[in-house]
Amino acid sequence: MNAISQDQGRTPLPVEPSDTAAAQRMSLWMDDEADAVELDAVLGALDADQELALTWASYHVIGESLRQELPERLGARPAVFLARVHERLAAEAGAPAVEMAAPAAVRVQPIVRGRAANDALFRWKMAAGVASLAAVMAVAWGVLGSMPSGPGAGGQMAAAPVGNVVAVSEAVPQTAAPSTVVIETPQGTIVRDARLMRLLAEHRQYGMSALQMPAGFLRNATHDGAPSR
Amino acid sequence: MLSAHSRRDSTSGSPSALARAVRRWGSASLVAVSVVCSGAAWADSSRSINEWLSRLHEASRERAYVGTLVVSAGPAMSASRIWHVCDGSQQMERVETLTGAPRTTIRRNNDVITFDPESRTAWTEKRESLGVFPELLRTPSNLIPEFYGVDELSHERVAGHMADVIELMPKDALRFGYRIWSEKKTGLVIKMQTLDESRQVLEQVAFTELQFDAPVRMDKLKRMMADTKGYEVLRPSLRKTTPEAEGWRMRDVVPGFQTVSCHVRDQSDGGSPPMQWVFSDGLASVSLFIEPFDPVRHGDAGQAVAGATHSLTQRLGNHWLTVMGEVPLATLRLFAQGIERTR
Repeated sequence: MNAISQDQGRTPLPVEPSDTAAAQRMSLWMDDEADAVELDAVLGALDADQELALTWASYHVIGESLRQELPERLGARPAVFLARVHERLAAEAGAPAVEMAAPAAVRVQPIVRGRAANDALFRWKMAAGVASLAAVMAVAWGVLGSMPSGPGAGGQMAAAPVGNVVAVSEAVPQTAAPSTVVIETPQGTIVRDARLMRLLAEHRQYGMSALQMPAGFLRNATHDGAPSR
Repeated sequence: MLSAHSRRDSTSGSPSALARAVRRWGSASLVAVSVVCSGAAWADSSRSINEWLSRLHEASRERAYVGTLVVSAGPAMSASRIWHVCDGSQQMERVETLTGAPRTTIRRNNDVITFDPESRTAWTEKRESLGVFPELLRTPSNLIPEFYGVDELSHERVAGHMADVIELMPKDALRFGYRIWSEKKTGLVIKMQTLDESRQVLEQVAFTELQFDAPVRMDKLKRMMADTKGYEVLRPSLRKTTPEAEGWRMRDVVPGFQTVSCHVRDQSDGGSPPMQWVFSDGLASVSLFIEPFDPVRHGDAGQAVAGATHSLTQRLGNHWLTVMGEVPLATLRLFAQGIERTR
């Protein structure tokens, strides 16, 4: 089992005593107190040292536990996570998965990464201000337009302006679409359709573009996470 | 003088004194200097679109680099750390996600492996489409110049490096445009935006930090790539086929788009995965996923968007169709209307 998933923020870092210097440099880096030389050393060591890479990942887990995002993300394969969320939704008296206007709808923990609790210290220059909406896969589908059938709030939402999150357009009947999960965030509701996301991953894998190398390939490896299974 | 630009500036927010001096020189002088350095003709010496695409493609084959990449697609942002090294005919890359689920992707030429440390799973695959450029640009099946034009705009500094800013703009409304920042000396794409009809940015990929000639070791990356101990290694297998064999054809071809591939993925759990029919116009890809209609699994017809990728899902007789691509919705509709069953 993944050692990191056991980490509740108090387990010692998984480093050998001989790597303490590298771990200390990493710690300085996390606190934004490393200078360029130390940064180079850490990055070079990260390249070589898997334990150090695990340490780096541990720091992130610690940060997330401080922000109370940990339970939603840990150790769960995407399909398992979706299934669990869906079970919870189903348990709520069989109500439709989403009603934009219904306050009784189940609120899943927002996945949006807000300001870090210790933002002043834990500032990552490159990713400062980045809000990652990815819990399972790093893609959020906005739903446009409407569908003739389907109960609930059908027929709303046009295309999202760039930079905004769009809301869902219709309720999802529980039995007809078991792969659809609806998540509420402060910015609105995002539809996470596991089937659509699987197709997206396959679309990325087999597409062809002169711009793929390197920008397209790097973009997909960064943004879409795992290929489909 | 310009070689000073290669000095790494990790705090890209605060311009150095050198950068301020460069700006004081004025853009005309900068162009003159770059002309002298590159030995090219005067400023509007345009390369053709094929020449630009070749340059962008070959740039990554020549230099090693390390950097941090940020992708913004609609409301979502992700970042990763990139290591790239090349050695004669071999190119290797390692991408380590910094946001979202941890993933490590390692590529050697067309072979790609993706590690998921949380589930201890790894996927290996062969990405044939990565290897077809730039040779494909020189063949008659390259339709890109018919459907896109290139404009050279200006010069801008990104991630500490001076870049040529060019735009690849579509000649019709069926595709998107691209604004590309190409590092002046090597041509490497350091920033790229996908633009819609009103030049709104749908997606952006950009290095926020980039260091050339970093000491990336190819043998180290090879070892990492082969180190799958403790991981369950999965290899997606697929059955190549043709649309005709599956009983489909495009009655009305969408201008500029040609078939790239057609396959059905093998699925071990007994489900029947869709046929995937992939089209490309050279810069943008469109996938058509077709499977038999199943009222239990299928019910959410509609449209969706994620960054530059639009999708359209609808019933097609006894089948269920999802069309997806980095093209406007209207283009996806043309695909959906143009496809027909032959038996």
